[in-house]
Amino acid sequence: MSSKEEILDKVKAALKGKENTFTKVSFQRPLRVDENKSPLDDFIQAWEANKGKVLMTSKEDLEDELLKLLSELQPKSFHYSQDIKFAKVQEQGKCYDSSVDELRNELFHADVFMLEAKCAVRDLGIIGVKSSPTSGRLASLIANTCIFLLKKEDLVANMLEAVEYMSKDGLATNTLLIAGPSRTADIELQTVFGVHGPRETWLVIY
Amino acid sequence: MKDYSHEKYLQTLDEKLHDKQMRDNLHSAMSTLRAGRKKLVENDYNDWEHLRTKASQVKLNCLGKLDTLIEEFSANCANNGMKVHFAKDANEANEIIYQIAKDNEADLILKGKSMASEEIGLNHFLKEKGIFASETDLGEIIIQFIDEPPVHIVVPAIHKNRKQVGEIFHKYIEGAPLETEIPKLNAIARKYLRKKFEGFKIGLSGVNFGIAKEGAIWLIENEGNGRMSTTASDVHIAICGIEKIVETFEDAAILNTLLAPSAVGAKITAYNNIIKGPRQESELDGPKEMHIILLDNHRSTMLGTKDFYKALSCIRCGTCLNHCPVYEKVGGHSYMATYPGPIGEVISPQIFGLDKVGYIDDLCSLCGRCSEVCPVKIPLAQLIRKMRAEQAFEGRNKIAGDENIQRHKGMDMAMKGFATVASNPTLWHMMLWSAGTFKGLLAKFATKAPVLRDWTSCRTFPEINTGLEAKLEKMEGVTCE
Amino acid sequence: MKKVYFFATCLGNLTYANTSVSAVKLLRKVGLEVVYKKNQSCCSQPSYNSGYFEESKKVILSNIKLFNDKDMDIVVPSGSCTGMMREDYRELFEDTPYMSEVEAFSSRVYELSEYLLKENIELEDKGEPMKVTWHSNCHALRVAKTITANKALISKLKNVELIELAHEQECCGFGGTFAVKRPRVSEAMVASKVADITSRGVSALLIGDYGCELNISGYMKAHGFDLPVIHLYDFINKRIGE
Repeated sequence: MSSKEEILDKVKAALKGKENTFTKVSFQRPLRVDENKSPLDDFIQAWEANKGKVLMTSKEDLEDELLKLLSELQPKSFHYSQDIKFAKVQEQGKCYDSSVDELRNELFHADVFMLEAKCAVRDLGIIGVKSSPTSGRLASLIANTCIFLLKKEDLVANMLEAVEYMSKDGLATNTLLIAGPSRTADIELQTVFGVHGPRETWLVIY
Repeated sequence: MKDYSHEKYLQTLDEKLHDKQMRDNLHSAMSTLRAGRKKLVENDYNDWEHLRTKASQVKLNCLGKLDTLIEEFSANCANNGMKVHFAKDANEANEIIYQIAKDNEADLILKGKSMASEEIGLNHFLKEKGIFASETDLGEIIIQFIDEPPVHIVVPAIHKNRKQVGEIFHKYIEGAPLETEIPKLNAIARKYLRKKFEGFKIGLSGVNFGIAKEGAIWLIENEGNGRMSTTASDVHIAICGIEKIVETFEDAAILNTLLAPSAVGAKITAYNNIIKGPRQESELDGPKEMHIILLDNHRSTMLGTKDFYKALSCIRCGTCLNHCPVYEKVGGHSYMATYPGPIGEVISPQIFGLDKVGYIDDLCSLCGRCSEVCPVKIPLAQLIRKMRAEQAFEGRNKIAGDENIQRHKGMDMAMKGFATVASNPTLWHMMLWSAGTFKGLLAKFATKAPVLRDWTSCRTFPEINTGLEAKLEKMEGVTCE
Repeated sequence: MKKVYFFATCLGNLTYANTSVSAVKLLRKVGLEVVYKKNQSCCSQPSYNSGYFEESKKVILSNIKLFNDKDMDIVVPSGSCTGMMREDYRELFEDTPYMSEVEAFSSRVYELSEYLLKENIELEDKGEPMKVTWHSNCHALRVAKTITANKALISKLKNVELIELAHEQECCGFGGTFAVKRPRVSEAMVASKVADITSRGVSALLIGDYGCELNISGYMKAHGFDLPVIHLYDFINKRIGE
């Protein structure tokens, strides 16, 4: 008998005779939200409380604002995912368009990375990102500073909605919910930012 | 071989009670975690108690159909390109991991935080085979350097202060200067691990939630080391206790909502990492090979118990530890096995043997605070009491190692004596009369007689005050019958 | 006249007979007649908490049959024993042939403060203004849930100000057999509790459970703390001039 069969047999035997107490449970708004604030303002407040940074702009001004941000950040190197289409922005750095097997060393020294966020979660102040052939998993992990582009309309209410929203056309290989910079409090419970994931996270909302 | 002897236990306990550094650090840390959770729960959530009830029900729902979920999960994971393994016990899991390392000619595995990997003793097993399983979580690295077990499920090195951590890094990390400021220590660890992440092959993680319907795993963390281990590797191995499998994203979201608030008083962790499989064709990165190991290791036995199956609801948040007044005084090492605190008292005997670690169940005054704060409403205090009943040979469940346990003759006698006297009015009254009459004598022997001497080691001898019946008989409107 | 049973508890017979009398006095004050069954002993927490369920059942069954008049409530001056009798008994005897008998008993159990409030007790505070703090027994707090009733009684004493402990939620380390099974851990816990109590700037500690009382007052006396530790029901009688 394989281990799989053995384990399943044991589990089945364990459940035999146990009363069926199944009761459907639904996820409903667990967090209090500030009804006086607009959803977007509420989200921004929560995102900033998580130590994320924000830049509000419009579709028309987006490219200019991104260039402005980049010039302020003065990156040692700049990478962007294939979803970033602005020519002037692309000129500033390199596209992440070949496999990590070729680019590994370069990626591990990446300073600033730009990619698209797929949604923002109002009640938690976090954003959603997913991997695809045009947006590698490492894009939101490997650099010191990450710049996420987000459309205003992609605002959802909560964690479950975020996952459902991002997977409505099929679940990506890697889906991420990100609450700003990486952090740890393992020493004396003092929080420090910028451990293995990005230290600085910019969200450019348009 | 791990020393589970009673002597080692008492020695450890004594040592930790006198470890002022650890006690101060732990007190400070636990107070902070409790206060953080309390504030968050009161201010930010819509009816926390209702959320607990829902989370508890979700877990019971999933456990109630675990066989179906295991089959669904493993089939869907396989469809998504994961290599699915089943491990009956710790040894089998270790062998599977070892084989994967051998197949990939790797002598290094980088680990994200995984309690299951500690449970199976992975690091030690691989070390004997010449493979280094290197921790990457900041707290775990610290204790790995000094070869200590974790002191807490969520913050493993909380008993060390910054000065001690600085000394540890300076000693064990090549080229690391001696620092004491926490941001500088963080920088040392980041630099040290960055080098490792750049050139490693195999990453290992646990699983917070396995989603049966999706064939995907959901992991949570704050540092990014988990993501590194599962994203920047060629091979990803995920260890998943079978009880971690839930049915839907909705189930996981309901549970995950309560995890970070309970654990550390934060609404959410920095990263929620949902992985469906290895690198797909046309994708740029991610492991080319992904393995998932479904681990039993006594979980199926626990599931079959009348009472203890509820402990399988545990989402490893650590809040029971944070609120346990005993844990704060003695620290995680005193519990002698992977899982400390209230949850440890229920599951460690079931995983490591009632005969090996059953004695840790006396590290509890049954105050019930753990039951009160557990986000999935595991009745921990009740279960600890029931585990004591198992050791008193009055239990009704199958617990690992229970065929080897010895009767505690002293306790048996004392309890039988109590039961005899307390159910026999003549004997009871005789006991009261003797206490009243000989209270002077009793007080004299208080420092020498067994039990009494433990009481009086830090308290005065109780004042005997009997004769209630006589007093009541004198009162108007009171009938003694 | 309405009659109630009085359950004194084991310590209420062994170390706190005077407090038992105080408790009965308060029942008399609201015009109740009290029946004391002489053969009562213990709610059985000591053996129950140690996992000796069969021994406990023996003691429990021999006790509950004494309180056989189903029209009479059972009043207990202890939240801890109330919790045991009202909640734990039901769990212990679930799926046994004794369930209905136990249910008939457990459904009539009340803690004294709860009962006095039900009977609309009036308390005229004749004492001088003073500040007190209160210790909550864990079983009373979390299982019996009788602490609010205790505090409601204290609030009826106009000249008594209740200052809460900083860490009311923390166990004092008694835990029944725990105190003598793991004495050094218990000691560490009671030391923390006493540090909290003596930091409140009050002139007395009020307490509602005998085990905790023995533990805390015993520790305080042995370590030279002279803050009085007074049982709630002794205190109330004193304040109303009984």
